[in-house]
Amino acid sequence: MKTSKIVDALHYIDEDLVAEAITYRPKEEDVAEEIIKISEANGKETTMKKKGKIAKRTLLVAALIAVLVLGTLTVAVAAFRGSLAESLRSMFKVSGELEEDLLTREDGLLQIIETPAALETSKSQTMENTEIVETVRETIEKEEDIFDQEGDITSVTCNGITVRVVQALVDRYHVNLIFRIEGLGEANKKGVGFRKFEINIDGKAAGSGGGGLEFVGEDYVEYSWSVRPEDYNNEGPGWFLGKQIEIKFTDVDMFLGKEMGSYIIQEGEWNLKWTMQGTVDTNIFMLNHELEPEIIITEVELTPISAVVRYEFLKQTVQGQTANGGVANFIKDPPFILSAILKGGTLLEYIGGMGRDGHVPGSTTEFVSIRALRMLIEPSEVDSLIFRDSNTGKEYIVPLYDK
Amino acid sequence: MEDKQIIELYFARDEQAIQETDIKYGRLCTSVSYNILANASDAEECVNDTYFHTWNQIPPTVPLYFSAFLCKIVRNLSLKRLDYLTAKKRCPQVVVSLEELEAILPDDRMASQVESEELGRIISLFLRTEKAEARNVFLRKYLFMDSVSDIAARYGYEESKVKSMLFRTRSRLRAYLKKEGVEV
Repeated sequence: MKTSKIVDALHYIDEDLVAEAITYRPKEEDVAEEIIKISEANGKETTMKKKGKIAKRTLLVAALIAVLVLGTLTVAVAAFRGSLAESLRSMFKVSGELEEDLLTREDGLLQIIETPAALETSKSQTMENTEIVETVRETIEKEEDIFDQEGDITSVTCNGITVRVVQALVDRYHVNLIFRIEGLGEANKKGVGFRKFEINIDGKAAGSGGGGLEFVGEDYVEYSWSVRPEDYNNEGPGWFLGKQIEIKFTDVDMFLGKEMGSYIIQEGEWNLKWTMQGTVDTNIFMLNHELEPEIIITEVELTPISAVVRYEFLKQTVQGQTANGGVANFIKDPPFILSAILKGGTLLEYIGGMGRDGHVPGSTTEFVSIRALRMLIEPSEVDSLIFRDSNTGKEYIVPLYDK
Repeated sequence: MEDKQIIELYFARDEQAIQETDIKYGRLCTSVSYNILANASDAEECVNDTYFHTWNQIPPTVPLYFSAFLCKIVRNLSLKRLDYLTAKKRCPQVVVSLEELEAILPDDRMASQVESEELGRIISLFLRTEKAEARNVFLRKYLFMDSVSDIAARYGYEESKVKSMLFRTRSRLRAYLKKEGVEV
């Protein structure tokens, strides 16, 4: 009984932790021997050990060491062009008039993180070109010193690679950050990522999130990270606005394919911190729309990048048959937001994105779904929403206004 | 193919999505299921069920971590399948893993008051306080059901080191759960 409890609980482990466990590899110095996995014809894996370093990785690191002469730490806020980052364009399907509106709106939804004056007063510290590991350690020491200082750090250069936070889309529920990474040299930028990414808001781990490489330019790449800051101390939505955000990138790595996995190509740490801004503007629609008996949508809250739906929905487990004839218990979900219909009749398909769903703690009837949207919307232009039951495929149209 | 592109195929209701999922993650899913069921044909059925569930859940769900999303489904289905099969067919490796976890929640009366989802959240918070190597060894063992020898081979550690790490992590988890009021 208790075994099944904890086994069930492991099913709810945060997905970023599960994803990390799929790709995680210890640092090379922690590994005494190279492990080579051999896939046999039956799909089962066997392993064999091989003494010595990993040849391919050594070559990659050596190639980069040759071009990384200096480690420079810059405390500055970088200017960024006055248009939308390519990543935000593609992530939120923004173009044309919508982009112009976004760039000119003053409600704080879009944060262009730049203070050009800071460039004139920026400090740079140059370290000796020594062994690569020593350089990294030296850099970290300097960064810690600078973290003690007041003020924002929105751009850091370490071992020739610069990471800057350039733009953000932020509302009461979601934070979408865009970073620009420069100085990757000859690396295959399509496979570049970071071994570790940590984000704290107001000194607390920032909840669930994810991201990755979004755009590859000629001399830079854009990297995104989206988080949904969990509620702390019942502070409620938007608790993180006006609070300090701290981000630490550790070690640039490269994905070399399914068999080889990821390998570090440049060690280092890039620590950023600044005060989170954003909008509290939101649109709340009080409804009492019955989708099915005992499934009632009571409230819809829309922002340009989030949708929050509240239901009256009794918590229940249902037993169902799997495709191979087995029997399994499933926690029943209500229909979730799928698409939107605008007032002019335009259909925005599949707007519902990642999210967090579940009953309010202590309640067996109040269910909340908080979803990031997959495209930017103007809430006042939305006429109705389409919900879909993922078990039956049935769709429901829910008007936001009385007809 | 990138995860994002595969998910787009699911949204377009293009059956190529399942083929691309199988190409990219079939081996991973099979490995997770095989670790639990120790039977190739059972594992294959669970992997097929996983694709079936994925097809039904996307859309509207958009997994943030597609690999983790698949792993959770295949693990859940495999454990259910394990329950469905007779006790004689159980894989000894999994039974040992589950017995080790039993010791973390010694009082079932207390544990039963905590929802699995809430317990999962608490364990996630605990794992975030752990060093990466301990965290990932723990997850490989109890989430992916890898054997100690497989974990040792995967990370290049001695088996004794893996066992020691697991023991210490379980002890710290037990203390953490107690602090959170999950245990007596």
